[in-house]
Amino acid sequence: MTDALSASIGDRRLVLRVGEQACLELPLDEGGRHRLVVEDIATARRAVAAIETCSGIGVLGASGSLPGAMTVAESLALALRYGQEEVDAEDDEREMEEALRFCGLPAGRIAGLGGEQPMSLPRAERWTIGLARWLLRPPDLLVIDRPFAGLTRREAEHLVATQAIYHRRHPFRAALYVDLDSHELVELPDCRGVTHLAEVSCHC
Amino acid sequence: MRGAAEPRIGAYLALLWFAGSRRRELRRPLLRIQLDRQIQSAGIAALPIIVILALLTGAAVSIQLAALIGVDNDLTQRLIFLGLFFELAPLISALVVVARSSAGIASELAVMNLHDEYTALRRLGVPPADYLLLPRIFGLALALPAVTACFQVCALVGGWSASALIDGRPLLETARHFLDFADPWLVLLSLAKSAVSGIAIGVIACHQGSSGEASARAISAAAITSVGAGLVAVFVIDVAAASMVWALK
Repeated sequence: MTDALSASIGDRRLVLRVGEQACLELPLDEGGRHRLVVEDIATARRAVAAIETCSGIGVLGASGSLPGAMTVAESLALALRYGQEEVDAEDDEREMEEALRFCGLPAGRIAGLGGEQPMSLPRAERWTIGLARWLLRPPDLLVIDRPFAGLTRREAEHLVATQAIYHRRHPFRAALYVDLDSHELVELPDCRGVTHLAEVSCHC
Repeated sequence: MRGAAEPRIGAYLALLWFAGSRRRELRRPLLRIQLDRQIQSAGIAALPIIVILALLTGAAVSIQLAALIGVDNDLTQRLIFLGLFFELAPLISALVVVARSSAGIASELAVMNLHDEYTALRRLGVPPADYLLLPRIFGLALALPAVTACFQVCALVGGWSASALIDGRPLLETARHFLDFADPWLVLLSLAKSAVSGIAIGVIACHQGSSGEASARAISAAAITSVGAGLVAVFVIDVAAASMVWALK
């Protein structure tokens, strides 16, 4: 049933459908965390791809969604300045450094980060850089795609705590965690709703 | 064979149309940086090998012509101009660019496809086709005429030097004799031919690199196909330009 996923935004609400049946309705102006639990990786990919077709959606992948072929500084420059006709590189760099500090990266680390390739960084650091980027340009809905895959419990809790910074800075912007159905899901404090896609599909 | 080639040519034309319609995007500062990089890697970085090849080709052609029909001959000068300057210079320059850049562009794009970097770019808010394909296609279109002009100058210097050594005439006199036969329109046409070849090489390499399946095998397949198809395109354009000159004369 989950192979016909589609999404749309109307009245400032995101609606994810399985076939014709709405399985997730998410208000975009009320902020907070939401969770979508899916049964396998293929379904997670399809759900994210369906949601991504709507405008105003930002996707933060497990490894920060940074292209591996360019340095961290180049990736961030692209993310922050691509649409601009005129570029104020110094201003953007200052803003980015502030965002990375805000996310808890030490100043000494931030200084040397720009010239590194994302693939050479630890996964948690890549994810933090990806989050810092969205911190500066928040989307209507931040989709956090399978963030806990391969993390220890402690790392996962640290990730959740880091992501809370996003909600403190943008209290009316929502975030949707897309997680795989595991026997013990990482706890999400202040989670406003959990949708199990497999259960919705069964009801359909 | 025909069945496989037709959709590919259609895809090349579609990409060409896309590049033409999106060319204004290159005004964006970050795309301009990418364009400069492509010109640097396809053009400026190729200059050392171009200079060596041009000097040697010029000398070889002049020596052969001197052996066949003599140095102090109008036909020799005409053949140097038409054969070396108009025909060989754009052709060899294009072959060097195909060998150096076409495989590089195709495999780079195929690796990016394998690692799902197009999705990563899209998620950064960057249209991958604009960012990756436009600078590469237009970079080659600008770099190849510049490389060709450099080849022409160096080949002439090589040719004149060889003629002057064989004939014992001053270099300037040989040059003046050559310039009597030079046709400025053919010079411009040779550079235009190079620009068209650059566009064709870029379109083929970009299509092969970005349209294959995401697998390790697709990387080498993209490089091989882009070089093969690029060579064919360069020769087709060369014959078309030669036919045009013949028809105009």
